[in-house]
Amino acid sequence: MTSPINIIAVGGGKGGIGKSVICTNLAAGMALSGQKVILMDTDFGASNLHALLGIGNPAHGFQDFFNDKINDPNTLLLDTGISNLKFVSGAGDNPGSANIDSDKIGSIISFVKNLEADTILLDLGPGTNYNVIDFFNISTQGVVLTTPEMTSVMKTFSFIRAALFRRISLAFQDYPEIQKMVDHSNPDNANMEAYTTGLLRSKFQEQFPNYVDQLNTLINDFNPGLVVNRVRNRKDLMAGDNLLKLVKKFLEVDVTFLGYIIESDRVRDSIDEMIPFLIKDPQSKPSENLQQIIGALTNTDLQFVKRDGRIFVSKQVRLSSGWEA
Amino acid sequence: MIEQFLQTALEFVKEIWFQLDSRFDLENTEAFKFIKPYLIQLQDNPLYMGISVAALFLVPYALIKVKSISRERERKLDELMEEMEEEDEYDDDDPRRLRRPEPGANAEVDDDSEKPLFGNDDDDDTTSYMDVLDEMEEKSDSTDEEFELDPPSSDNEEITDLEENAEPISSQLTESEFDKDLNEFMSLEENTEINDIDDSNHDQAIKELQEDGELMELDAPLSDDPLSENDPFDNYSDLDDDEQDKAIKDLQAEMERTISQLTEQIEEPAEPHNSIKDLSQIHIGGDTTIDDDYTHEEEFVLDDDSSLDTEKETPSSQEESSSVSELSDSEILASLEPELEDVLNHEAESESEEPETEYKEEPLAAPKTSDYEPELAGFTFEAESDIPEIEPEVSAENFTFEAESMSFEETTEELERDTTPSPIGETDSLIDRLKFLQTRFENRYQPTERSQEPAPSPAPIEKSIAAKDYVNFTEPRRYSSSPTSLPPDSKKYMDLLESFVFMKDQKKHK
Repeated sequence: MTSPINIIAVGGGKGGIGKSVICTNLAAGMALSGQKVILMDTDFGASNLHALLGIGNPAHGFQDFFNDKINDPNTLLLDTGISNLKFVSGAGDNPGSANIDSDKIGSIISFVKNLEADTILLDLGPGTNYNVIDFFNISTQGVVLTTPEMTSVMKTFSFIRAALFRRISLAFQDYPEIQKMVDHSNPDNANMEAYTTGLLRSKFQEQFPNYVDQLNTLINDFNPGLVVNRVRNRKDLMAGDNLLKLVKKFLEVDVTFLGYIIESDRVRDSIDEMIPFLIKDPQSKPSENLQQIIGALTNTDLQFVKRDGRIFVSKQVRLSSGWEA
Repeated sequence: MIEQFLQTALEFVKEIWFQLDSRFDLENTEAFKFIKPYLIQLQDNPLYMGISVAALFLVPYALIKVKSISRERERKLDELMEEMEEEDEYDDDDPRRLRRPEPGANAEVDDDSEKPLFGNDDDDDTTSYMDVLDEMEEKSDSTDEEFELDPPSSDNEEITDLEENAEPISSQLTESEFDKDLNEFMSLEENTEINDIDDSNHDQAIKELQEDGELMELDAPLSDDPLSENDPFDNYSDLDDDEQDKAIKDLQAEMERTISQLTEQIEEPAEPHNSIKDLSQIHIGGDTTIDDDYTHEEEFVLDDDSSLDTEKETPSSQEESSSVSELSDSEILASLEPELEDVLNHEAESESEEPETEYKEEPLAAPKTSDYEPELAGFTFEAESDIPEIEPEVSAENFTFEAESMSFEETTEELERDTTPSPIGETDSLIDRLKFLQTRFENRYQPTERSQEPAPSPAPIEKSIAAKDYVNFTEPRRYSSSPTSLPPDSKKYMDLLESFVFMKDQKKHK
C-alpha cells in the first residue's frame, strides 16, 4: 500500500512575507528528517527559490515545461545538495509568464500529482489570482503565512477567502448560478452579495437548498494552517489570533495555528549566504521555531543538532498519528 | 542566665557611654540635650525601647539588603548581557546547546491537544491558538532555562504571563530588538541635537539683533494695555513730522539690517534644499551629513512649495494664513523683500526733501538668487496689495494671524491716532512679518515646547491671540497624526481590521 503524497502549499496574499524562505526551510527540514521531498517554485514570473538554495543558472525549470522542450518531466527535478531534496525551478521566467493559461496550470498540477515523493512543497506567488489559488487548492495541507502587520493579516484573510470560494467554485462548476455567487472574476455577471460563507449559505438555502450540505462539507474540509512570520513579541503574535478570529467569524473556517518564526538577523543572513537557516544554524531560535512547525505538519518531534559541520536529526513520532495502529 | 547577660550588656553599654561622655563631654552637647527627653521616654516605655532597638538594627539591615538585592540584579543583568553576546558569537560545538528538555509530562498533553494534520480524522478537539502558543512557549522556556546561566525567577513569570503586552519572546530577541531600537533612537537624538545646535545659532543671532534696537521693545512681555509704554508707536501722533520721519527711517534701517542678518542665517539651512546634487557629502558640524540631518519638518516644507499655487486661488484670510505657516523661512524672507522695497519707495515719494538715492544706496541683504525668484513670482502674499492703504494694519493682522486679533476699539484708536497711515501701516506690516519670522526661527525645531508654553508675544498686535491658534498656525493640521496605535488584542483593532477588509456597503457581513 502506497501512502498518498503530501502536498504542502505555502501561500499568503502579501508579497515579501517570507513564503519562499519558510518553504525552503520546511523542505530542507523534512528532507533531513528522512522524507523524500520535492520543492517546487510556482511563483511564475518572479521565481527566486533557486537563489535561496544557491542554484545558479538552473539547467531546467518550468519554462521548459511550458515550451514542451522536455520529454521526461522528471528531468525538471534538480539536485539541491541536500539529501532527499529535489527542486523544480521556476527560473527562466519571462515577462508575462505569470499569466499562463489555465490549461498550462492544469498540466502542471497533473505533473505535480504524478511525482514520486513523500512530500511536495509548493512555494506560491503573492496575490490571489487563480494561478496561485489553484495550486493552493491542490494541496493536502495548505499553509498560509502572515506577518504581524495589519496589511499582511488583511491580505492573508483575502487569500483564505479566495481559496475557499475558488474551491467552492470548482466544486460547482456545472452550476452557472452558483458560479455567479462564488466566482467574482467577471463582475458584470457576478452576484457580489455573497462575500462571506454565512451570506453564501443563506443564498444557497434560498436558491439551492439541496446543495447546502455539500457546501458545508467543502467549508468544513478546508483547514489551512497558519504560520506567523517575523514575530518580535507577544503583541505581534496576537495578529495571528486576530486572523484566526476573522476567518472563523466571516468564513467559518477553522485555521490551525502551526507556529511562528521570530524576527532574526540569522534568517536574513541565511538568505544572503544562500543556505537555509535550518541547516546553517539548526539550534538558533528561528530554527527551533521551524522545527516546531515541521513537527506540527508531520506529527513528529524533530530535533536538529549540528556538530562538526554535520547535522544530526532525532525524530520522535507522536502518538495518534496513525503509527500506533 | 538571660538576666545576667542583659546586665552585663547594660554595664558594657554604660561603660562605653561613660567613656565617651568623659572624653567628649557628650552630656553637655546640644544634640544630647535635644534627644535626652526622648531617651528618658524610651527608658520608661519598653515598647518604645523595643521599637527603637529594632529600628536601630532593622533600618541599616534593610538598607544593606536593598543594596545587595540591587547589586545582585545588576550582576544577573550583566550575566544575561554577556550570555546574549556569547550567543551572538555562536559556538556550534557548545555542548550546552545540544541538550533539550525531556519530553516528560508534557508529552501526554501534546498528544491530546495536537491533532494530526494529514490524518483527515474527525477529531473535534482542535487546539486553540493560545493553547498552541502556550505549548510552544513552555517548550521554549524549558529550553531556555537550560541554556541561561541563572535566569531570575521573576523573569520567567513574566515570560509565561500571557497578559503581558509586548513581552519579548526570547532574551536573544530582546537584545537584538532593543539594540536596534536603541541605535535608531540614538541616531534620531543625534539628529535632533544637530538641529538644536543650528536652531540655537539662529536664536542667538535673533537675540543679538533684538538687543540692538527696537525689536527688543517689540518683544516686551504681555500686558493688559495693548498700547503700553514699550510700544514705539504709542506716542507717535504726538511727534512732529521730522521726528516721525526719523523714527520711520530708523526703524526701516534697523529692519533692513535685521533682514540682512537673518538672510545670512537662513542661507545655511536653505541652501542644501536648493542644491541637491550631492547631499551625502555635505557635512554639518562634524560627521553628520545633511542626509542624517534631514528632518520631516524640512520635508514638509519642500512639499508645501508645490501646494502654493492651489492656496493662492483661495485667498481667504484663514487659508492665506495657513499657507504662510507652511512656507519655508526662505520664502517668507523673500516675500519681505518686495514689501520692504515698496515701503522704501513709498517713503521716498512722500518725503520730497530726502533724495531717492538714499534708499538705493542700501542694498537689500536678502540674496536674489535664482532659487528665490520663482517663489517671489508665485507668492501668495500678493493679495495683500488689494487692501486699501487706509487700513494697512488690518491687512497686517489678517495676513499674520488669521481671523483673530485686536479688539475693534483698539484698532479704531490706532487708526484715529495714525496721522500718516500709509507708510506706517506698511511698516507695521513689515514689523509683523519680521516678528513672525522671528517666532518661526525661535520655534522652528521645538514644536512640543511651544505647544506647552504660552505663545511668545513680541508685539502688541499679537497680544490677544490665543495660544491654541498660534500652535495651529505654525504646525499645520494636515501633518498632525494620531500616534496612538491600537493594541492588537483590542476590539477596536478588530473593528479596524474588518473595516479594511470589507467595503462600506458590506457592513451587514453575515
